[in-house]
Amino acid sequence: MAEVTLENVKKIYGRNPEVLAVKDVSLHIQDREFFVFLGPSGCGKTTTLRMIAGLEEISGGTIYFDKKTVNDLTPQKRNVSMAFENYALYPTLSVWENIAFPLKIRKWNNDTIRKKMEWVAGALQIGDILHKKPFELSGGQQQRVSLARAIVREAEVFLFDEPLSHLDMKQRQLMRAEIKRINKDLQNTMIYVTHDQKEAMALADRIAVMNDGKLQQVGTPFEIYENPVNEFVAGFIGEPPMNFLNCQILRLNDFFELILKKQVIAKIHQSRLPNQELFPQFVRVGIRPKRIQITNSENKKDALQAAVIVYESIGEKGILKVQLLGEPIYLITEPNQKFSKGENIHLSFPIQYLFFFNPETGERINLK
Amino acid sequence: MANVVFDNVSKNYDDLRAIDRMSFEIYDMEFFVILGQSGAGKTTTLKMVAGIEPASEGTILIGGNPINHLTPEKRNVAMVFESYALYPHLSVYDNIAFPFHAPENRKSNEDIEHSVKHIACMLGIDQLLGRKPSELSGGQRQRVALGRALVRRPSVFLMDEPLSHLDAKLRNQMRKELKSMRKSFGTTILYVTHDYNEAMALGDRIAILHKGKIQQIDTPDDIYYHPGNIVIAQSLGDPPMNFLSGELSFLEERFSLRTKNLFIPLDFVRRQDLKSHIGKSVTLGIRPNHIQINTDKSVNSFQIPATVFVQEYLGDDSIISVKIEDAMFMILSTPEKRYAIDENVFLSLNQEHTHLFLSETGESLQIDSGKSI
Repeated sequence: MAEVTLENVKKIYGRNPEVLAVKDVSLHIQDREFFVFLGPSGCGKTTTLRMIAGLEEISGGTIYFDKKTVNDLTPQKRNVSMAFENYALYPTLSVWENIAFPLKIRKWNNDTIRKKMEWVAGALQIGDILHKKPFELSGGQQQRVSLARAIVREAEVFLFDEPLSHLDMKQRQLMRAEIKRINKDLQNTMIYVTHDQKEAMALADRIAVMNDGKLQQVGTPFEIYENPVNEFVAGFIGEPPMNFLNCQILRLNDFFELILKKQVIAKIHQSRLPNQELFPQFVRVGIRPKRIQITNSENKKDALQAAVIVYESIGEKGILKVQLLGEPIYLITEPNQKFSKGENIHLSFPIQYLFFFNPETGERINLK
Repeated sequence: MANVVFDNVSKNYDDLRAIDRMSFEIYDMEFFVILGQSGAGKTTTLKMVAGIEPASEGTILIGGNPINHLTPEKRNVAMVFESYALYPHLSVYDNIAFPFHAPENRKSNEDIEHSVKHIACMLGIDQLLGRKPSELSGGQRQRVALGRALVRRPSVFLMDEPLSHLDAKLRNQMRKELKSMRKSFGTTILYVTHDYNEAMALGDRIAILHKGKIQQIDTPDDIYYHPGNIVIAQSLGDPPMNFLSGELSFLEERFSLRTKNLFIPLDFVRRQDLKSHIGKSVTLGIRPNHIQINTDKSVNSFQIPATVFVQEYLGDDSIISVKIEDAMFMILSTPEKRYAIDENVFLSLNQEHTHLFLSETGESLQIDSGKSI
């Protein structure tokens, strides 16, 4: 059982103290939590994980396991178990021996090892490859073995860096469900790094979104999706991602009109604005692809005309790309609809699903 | 402009049969996608059309003419590979004009300029002709690579996973780009991929290739809704189709699937000739979006009892994994409803979209023979 706390953690590479790979990250990971670091490549998520693991020196700040400072402890002394994108299996050992190895050197008795092996082989679906050598396995199988080796140990904290990246779509889906369930059953603290927003959403109790070495937001998947604090977080989650439009705001009586290239796309009643003086003249308006409505042609008075660029029907859903006043916009629709290139459709933007961001800072502006 | 016909084409590598008696037609101007896992024979098929690999048996015809004996240059096909392989030291113009350096494509400088500018306009990169590849975005590079392939006006355009090395976001954008531009290519397109999203989004028709054999050729919707066997059913959909095996039983004029503890009515099966399969092992298949999950047991209709394994909240939607006896089922649902681990739930299957396969061969028991290949 362990909580992990990061206090103003920094990482400097090279001699220039101005160039920070990780900038003052402070956060608290609760005992038993499934905590995911999410961000694009180069955002500092793996560096942060490696500092927690003890594989990377901490340039500034403190990392605590429970109340204990671990900055100067070696990885072994931190009692963490790790699985990384590169599997690092012992080539001369069988899958069984690879997984059992960390247990043997910890002097577990054979019965306990066998029970643990049966459990993990079932959960990660490697029962039929236990006798094979790593070179006989596909990349996806090797990755599952590496994951199994990390999970059989009884560590205080489990650390994973993109452990599913080499699996095909179907296997990834299954492993995701298994790992999540393992976390709930074992009740270990798990810290997980990925660049895949869907994986982060699916697995996490809470997500830390990072960009450019900085922590952007820490929250549950629901909070990150429904309540992003800035444009980066809003745009990083969802596929296709949120649409953003540069709008001008003009007051008309009790309403503030959102204007995109001289056309009103939505109206907000003044009572909903937090502080009218502070509300900027220009805003970035965000809306998720599944929230844009296609209205039928009878009530197109307030609707916006858009031209279809591409429509894709891919099984579970349809994805529509349209051009609205010169801007590309993505919509998620029901599958099997018929749209043809160049066709005009009418859209409306329900006010309750709009997000507003400061165009200079990217910070979210909340309505009342 | 030409159709492509595979007439009983096979490819052997020593003892290994990489392609097994492939016969089909790609229509003139069609966007035809071959979908398969790695090792299925997709790239081999493409290389046989390009002339990089000879066919071991059978005939390939382009526009009605057999091309087996022709060298790659004489086939009038163009190929775009997984990596765009642009020349970094050449400008966009020179990259696109590059195919005209080959002796068989020689043209006057005026003609070259005309062709390059025409293709650059069509692809919307006419403003970038002076730039070097390093000064271009990923999308612009793709367009340059397409331009270089199209500039000779090939009659068949071959694409081998052209999007696979891009990150997910860019890949989704590029896919839409390709689709919106395809009409302007003015050629027949043969595209191979392992990504079913790409296949469904781009293909007029899709051929599912598995272990060197064509499994089914149909429109994306037909393949998605009417897969001819389990392999085809598994190749599309995210999460993939769920399967439950049992014995086909027939009681009181009703078919049902008998598992360890369940009798699942198969009212969607009406074919009386299924009677010959009674007692055999069959596999029910249903897609995650065709299952409804209920917390209360209904008295009116049949439901399958299940326990929640785990729920994944994804923002736009939610995936609930449940266990039915030993089988794991995934259900795609709206994000609002939350389920607890080990909660008992009841599943209603959308009968219209439930499939039944013969477990031994994997073949669908609903599709009339002849529909699938």
